Amino acid sequence: MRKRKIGIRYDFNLLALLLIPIGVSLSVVGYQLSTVLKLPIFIDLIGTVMVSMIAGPWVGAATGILGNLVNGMLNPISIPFAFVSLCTALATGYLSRWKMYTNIVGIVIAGLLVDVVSATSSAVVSVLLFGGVTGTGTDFITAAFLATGQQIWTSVISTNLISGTINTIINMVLALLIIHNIPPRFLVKLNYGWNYIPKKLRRLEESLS
Amino acid sequence: MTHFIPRLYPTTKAWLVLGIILCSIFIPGYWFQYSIFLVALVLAMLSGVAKRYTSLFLKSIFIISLFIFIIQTFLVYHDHIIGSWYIFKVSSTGLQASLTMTSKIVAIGAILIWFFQVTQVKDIAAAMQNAGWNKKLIFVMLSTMQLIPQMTSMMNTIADAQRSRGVETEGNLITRMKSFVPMLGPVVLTSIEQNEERVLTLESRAFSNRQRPTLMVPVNKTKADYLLSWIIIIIMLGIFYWGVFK
Repeated sequence: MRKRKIGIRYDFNLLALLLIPIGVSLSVVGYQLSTVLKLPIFIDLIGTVMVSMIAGPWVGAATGILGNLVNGMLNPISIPFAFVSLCTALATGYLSRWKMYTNIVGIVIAGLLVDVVSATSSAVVSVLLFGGVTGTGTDFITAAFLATGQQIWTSVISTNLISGTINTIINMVLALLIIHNIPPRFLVKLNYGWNYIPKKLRRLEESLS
Repeated sequence: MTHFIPRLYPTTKAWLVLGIILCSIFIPGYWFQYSIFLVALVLAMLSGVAKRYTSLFLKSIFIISLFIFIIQTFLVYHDHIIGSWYIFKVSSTGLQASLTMTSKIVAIGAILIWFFQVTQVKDIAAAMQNAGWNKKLIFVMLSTMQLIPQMTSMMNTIADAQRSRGVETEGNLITRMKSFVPMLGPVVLTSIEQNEERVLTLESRAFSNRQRPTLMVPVNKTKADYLLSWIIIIIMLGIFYWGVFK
């Protein structure tokens, strides 16, 4: 396999840069679709996760932050939650760099890790800035935990883990399903796309070079 | 007046937003912060977006503030309990905490909603370009704003097409979940195909060149902008001084 220079200085090439708008719109469209189909989960991370997987942690982080800023134009509450997108994107991106998403064991471990990261970072933002509230339906779970006498941090993190786990996993699985349908000739041009190219083609490429 | 505020240079309005954010963070108490809601309402009326401003405010900031009050006052354990009912205990510490917290959220949220209602993204982008920001950053921002409605309409087209060939979008949860990938997959793949073409187009038009491009829609500062900027900065410094040090 040929060596590519990867890292924050090399990741923002033009092809990856133009993936950012696609990622942001994908998250928005995913969210709309999940409301149209009346799903009980919100597919609002799919763009960020997909871009972090194929274009690296930093491009993914830019996608996540921009997505929150765009939402923030109508709902300023979502601007501080850009921190959550940043953490999720960085975790996903580095796990992708370490080839965690290529086998089933890795996918399970990566899913759990990303879930913990996003639940904790979301709790940090919501407890420090909003007193443990997010302005959505999950606040009732937090309220229930608090009513049983739990501390605010434990309540918010448990709520996030309960409501976020399925969400994170489904977003991740959908992103992986979509990535496996992306043509290899596009993936090969991206800095982190190599791991998602079918093995047969990778061997062919290695034998040619 | 209705057209005056939206046509101001974005930086002029940004000074006001920045000033209010800093003041509401550092000034103790909550009366100044809550009054920003009224200030922003008056500004929204003057710019002709009062209706949208109020509805956005009620939908986001008001609801979260209400939740904060309920959770902080009744449910989080605090000292100085001033009354109790069933499992709920009203504490003055919690009330105080939620007043300080919500007042800041109300002030910052209100002024941000107003700002984005009266400032178009393309004006912000032009102002950023005039100020010498990174060209790639501005391009990504603008193209995101253009791509979202495009992708939404593409999704609707694809959803119609998939429905007509028999993908079920109604029924039980599993059926609806299954229809997700056939709906979203083509959207992503089409955008990625277009992405490569877009890269070629941009490269052929010297996007990677270091030169500053010429603006199609020039946005210029007027005399009113300079005057207003200074007035806003001086007023904000004054409020800051009186609020924090006196």
